Amino acid sequence: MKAALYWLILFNLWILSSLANSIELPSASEPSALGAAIAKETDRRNLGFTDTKSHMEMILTNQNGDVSSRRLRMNTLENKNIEDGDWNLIVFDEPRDIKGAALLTYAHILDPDDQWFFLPALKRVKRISSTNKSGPFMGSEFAFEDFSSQEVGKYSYTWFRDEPCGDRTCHVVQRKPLYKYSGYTRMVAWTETTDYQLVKVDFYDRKNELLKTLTLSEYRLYLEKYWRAHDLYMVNHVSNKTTRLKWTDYEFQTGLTEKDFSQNSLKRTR
Amino acid sequence: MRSYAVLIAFCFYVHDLYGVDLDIEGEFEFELRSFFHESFYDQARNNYASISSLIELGIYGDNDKHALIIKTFVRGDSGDSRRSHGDLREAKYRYVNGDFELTLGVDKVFWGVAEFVHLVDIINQTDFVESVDGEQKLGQTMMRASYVSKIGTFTGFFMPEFKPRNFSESDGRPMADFLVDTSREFYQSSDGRNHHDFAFRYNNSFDVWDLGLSYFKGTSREPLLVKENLIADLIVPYYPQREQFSVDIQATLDSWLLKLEALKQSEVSTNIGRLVAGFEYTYYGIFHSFSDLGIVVEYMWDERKLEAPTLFNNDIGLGLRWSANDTDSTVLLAGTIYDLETSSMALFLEAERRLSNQLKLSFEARFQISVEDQDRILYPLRNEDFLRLQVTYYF
Repeated sequence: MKAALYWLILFNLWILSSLANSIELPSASEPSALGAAIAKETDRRNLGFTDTKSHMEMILTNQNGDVSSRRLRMNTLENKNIEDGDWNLIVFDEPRDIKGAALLTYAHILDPDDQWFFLPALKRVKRISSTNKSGPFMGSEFAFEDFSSQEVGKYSYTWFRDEPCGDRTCHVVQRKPLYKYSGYTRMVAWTETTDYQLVKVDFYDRKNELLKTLTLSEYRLYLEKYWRAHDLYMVNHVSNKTTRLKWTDYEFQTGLTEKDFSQNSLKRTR
Repeated sequence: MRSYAVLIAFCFYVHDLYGVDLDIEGEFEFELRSFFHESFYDQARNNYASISSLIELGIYGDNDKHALIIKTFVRGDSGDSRRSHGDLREAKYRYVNGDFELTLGVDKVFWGVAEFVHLVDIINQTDFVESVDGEQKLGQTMMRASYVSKIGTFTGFFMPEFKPRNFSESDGRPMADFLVDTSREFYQSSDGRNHHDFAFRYNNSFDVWDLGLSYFKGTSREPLLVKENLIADLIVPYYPQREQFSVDIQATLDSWLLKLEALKQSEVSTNIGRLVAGFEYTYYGIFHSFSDLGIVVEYMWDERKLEAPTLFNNDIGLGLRWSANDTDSTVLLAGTIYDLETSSMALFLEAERRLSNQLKLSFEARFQISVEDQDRILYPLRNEDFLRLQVTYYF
């Protein structure tokens, strides 16, 4: 009797989980609802990651082929309040002159983020304006808004089409930033239809001209649930400069708490 | 030598046993300073070269719950005897447990929000031979306990010893037209350098606001320069006891940062108020480029006006900061300080740029445009316009 009950529960769970993975999308006659549903699905698949620790190397190449690099570490805490953005702490390692500098961000969806910058030489924590999210991050082709948390509520969506991308199929969806101070009028994002991960984004500048293209690859699965791209390659079509972000040493659910994202912890970074 | 070997072996042993981390990092700097005018003193020169090092050793254990950090600074100067000096910037043990943090030993802390003057920042003594702008500080021995709560961060300080301010000798520059005899410094408290100082700070951030409230009771970090009786032209530093209440507030409103630091200090039975208030505004992506232009305007006020032992008694500071946001992180900063009391005016220019992953070039120039003789701070420094060039190697 008891065993039968267990089997019944397991069977129900199996039904539920298979339902969760086969999603009902709105029809193509409602392109904005369909676009938003695709973004929500990507977001849903990342729910519950709790926290991550990771390392990043940035390789900057200018139009003459000169190469320079940066290194940093990033800790992220998932915000339990889904109406608000995640928290993250970035510690800079290279170039050496900024070693030990750190940036604490409480991201918001439509309001400007709260950001504090730590200057290790002065031991000073300075609250900074976060309206410059569209400027070059560490002199690279990435803006802070390009790799910070991509909350669903930040954009309005329009589904364009589905098309093949590599050996998979992609939803092609336009995103228009709803937050003030974005550097873009719109983006066009390719999301593959198997795992609902981004594979490519075109960024259009304030004059609505194609400015940059981001290609995301080397996806790896963590805790059998969370996909992370390990190679983000940005090409600036105007300046012909490129930046490659290489993420390494991803760790999930490391036990980080809000305490690790305080101004006191910002002063303790190393 | 043998004891070093034992120590290193011990460190590796501890490392293996408890997962202890060792960090060594630092910088070497080469500096040239050039003064445009002749000094008041025969011993002084117009050009100085110097080298300095800043080395930090950190030992961390149990996921950084325990940390032992030592940071030493040493400078050797070709001619400026007082500038050849060393200081233990940090030598501390730090314990962190969740919301609680305890620091024992020598450390540095920073309070405040303003750019032109760090008014409420009182814990550490200024390293005056290193910087005329008060940005460089000497390490301070302290016991500090901090608690982060839902309603803000509470920090208490106990400081058992005091470091007096350092002043240049007649062979050093920048140098006033009078000499400060630090060997004859004296204190209001009979405990002298061993007076026990206390401080308390509350700070919190909510919405667009960052607020700090601080209290300090102990030896003033700003000496009063007094004429010793009988011996004319001999100036000695006098360190009174001070009690100080202060507030620092910043409102971050999009591209605007609004700032205020204000304090009330009681010293030698007088109560005086001081404040600095102003704003910082940044234009991001000027002229459709990637560079940013920031404007800083601050008003500085001291109730003592001309009698104040500070440059900033009734002054306006205006600064422009241009950040190229290029791969070399080029930054230019130009500014002026104008004294509304005496009409004296000073200019400064700072620039820096990365040369490679481990090298940085910095430039600084300070000039006086007009100096009135009733200006107690700038007038004695009227011959001290200079520029300096630094190359820093980081490892």
